[in-house]
Amino acid sequence: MSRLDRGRATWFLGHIMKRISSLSLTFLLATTASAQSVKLPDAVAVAPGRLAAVTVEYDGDDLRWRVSSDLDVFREFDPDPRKIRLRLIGYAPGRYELTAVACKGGKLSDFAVCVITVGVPAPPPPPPPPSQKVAWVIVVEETAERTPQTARVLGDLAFWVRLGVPWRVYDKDDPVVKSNHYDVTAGRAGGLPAMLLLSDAGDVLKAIKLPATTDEVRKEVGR
Amino acid sequence: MNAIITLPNGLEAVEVGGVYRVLAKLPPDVHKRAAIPRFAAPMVDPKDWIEIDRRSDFGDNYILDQKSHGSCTGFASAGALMRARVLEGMAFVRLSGAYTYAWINGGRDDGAIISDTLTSLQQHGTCPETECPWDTIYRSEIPASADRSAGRFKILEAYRVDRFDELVSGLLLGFVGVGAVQVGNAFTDLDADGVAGFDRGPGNHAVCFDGVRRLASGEWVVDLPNSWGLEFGRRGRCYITRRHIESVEQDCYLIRAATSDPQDPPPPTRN
Repeated sequence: MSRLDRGRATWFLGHIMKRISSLSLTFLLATTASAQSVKLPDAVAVAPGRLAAVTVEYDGDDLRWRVSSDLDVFREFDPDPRKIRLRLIGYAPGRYELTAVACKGGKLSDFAVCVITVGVPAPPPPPPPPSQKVAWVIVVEETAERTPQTARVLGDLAFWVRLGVPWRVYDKDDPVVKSNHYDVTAGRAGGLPAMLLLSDAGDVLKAIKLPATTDEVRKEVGR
Repeated sequence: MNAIITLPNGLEAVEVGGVYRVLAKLPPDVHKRAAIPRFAAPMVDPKDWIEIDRRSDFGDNYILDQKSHGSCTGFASAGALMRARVLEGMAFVRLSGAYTYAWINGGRDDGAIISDTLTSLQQHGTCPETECPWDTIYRSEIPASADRSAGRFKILEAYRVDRFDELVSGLLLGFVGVGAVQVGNAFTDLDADGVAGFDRGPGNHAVCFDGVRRLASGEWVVDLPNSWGLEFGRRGRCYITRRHIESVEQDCYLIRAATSDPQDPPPPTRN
């Protein structure tokens, strides 16, 4: 059903239906010994033009609730006087709220809020990638512009051997830089010299500027 | 002191480790030298110089031995290239100096020019030493398989330096050098610091440079891994001073980048 015939629905169900910005219903109920309360689901999602069902459960002498004016709403019958069954329809995608508060013995409950999301359900988030280890450290630089600071990092051969991860230093003009797309990835690092951390399959785990010290390189590599 | 002798072909030689080492670095060719890019790297201020000790990084396996041929140019450049490769993260491969010498010696064992080694290593590369050992110095002796292998081991970028400060700057930036020294009667006598004796002359021997050290006197010296085996100096090495470098005819270059080995590639990026 893409849109509800509100007149027929009202006749069929024998209940009020209003297009309002605020609805109030008052019910006088027997006083009980327990504290006033109202309970709503935290969130409901529904496609545009489709009915959403929300049940308000409360304990109290009185209940008031209100819903965003862009939603149509009507009440369905429920034999339990402590339950109010509402059906809501939204036509435009968006985020709406249903709010309710109960009163018992002259004391108000906390406000209860149900978020009603109208829209195409978001696809589930992709599963997190399996934890990937750094299998390669690739440095792309312009060797003609190498600074003493860069040289201290790149030239510490003992450090790189101990690091335990294969590494390569490429001049930006090396054909491999282009053929392996290191130039594109280095561009994402914010300039040269760039350090690319790759999985053994070539996934780019990180692309950053070459750190200023070997200690920082070690931390980035996770060793 | 190891006395210099003169061979029948006019070249000089010095005995080290029971072998007469021919001193066959020929004078630089002005035009070839001019074709090499000029010093092209940041100059490191001498007050910021620090020591670069490669003696443990590049140990005994890296000391080549040209034995009795006049192939010092080929061996000096091969030594520099194999060090540059390792500094770029590639595997250590003991490279052939004889292969390059065969390309540039004109079919005679009478020496060669340093600049020609750069041209040859950029065009042809050099193969592993196992495929072209020290005594294979003529093109007719070299198998086609060695030529194919040589394509894996080339120089990508290099530049020439003319002064001691430029050479030291390049070494401090992590590059590896090839240049000339003059070997006379004093050279093989090292002092207490391991510094080679000084001989005046235009330069008759090609060598590799890979490190920098400051002596107790405050003088800076360059580390020189020679190509005369481990018998020379201190396990094949000595230091030389500013005077050693600047007294010879300049034909020095620094390897800034080696080509990557197509048989040992890291993966291309996927995302």
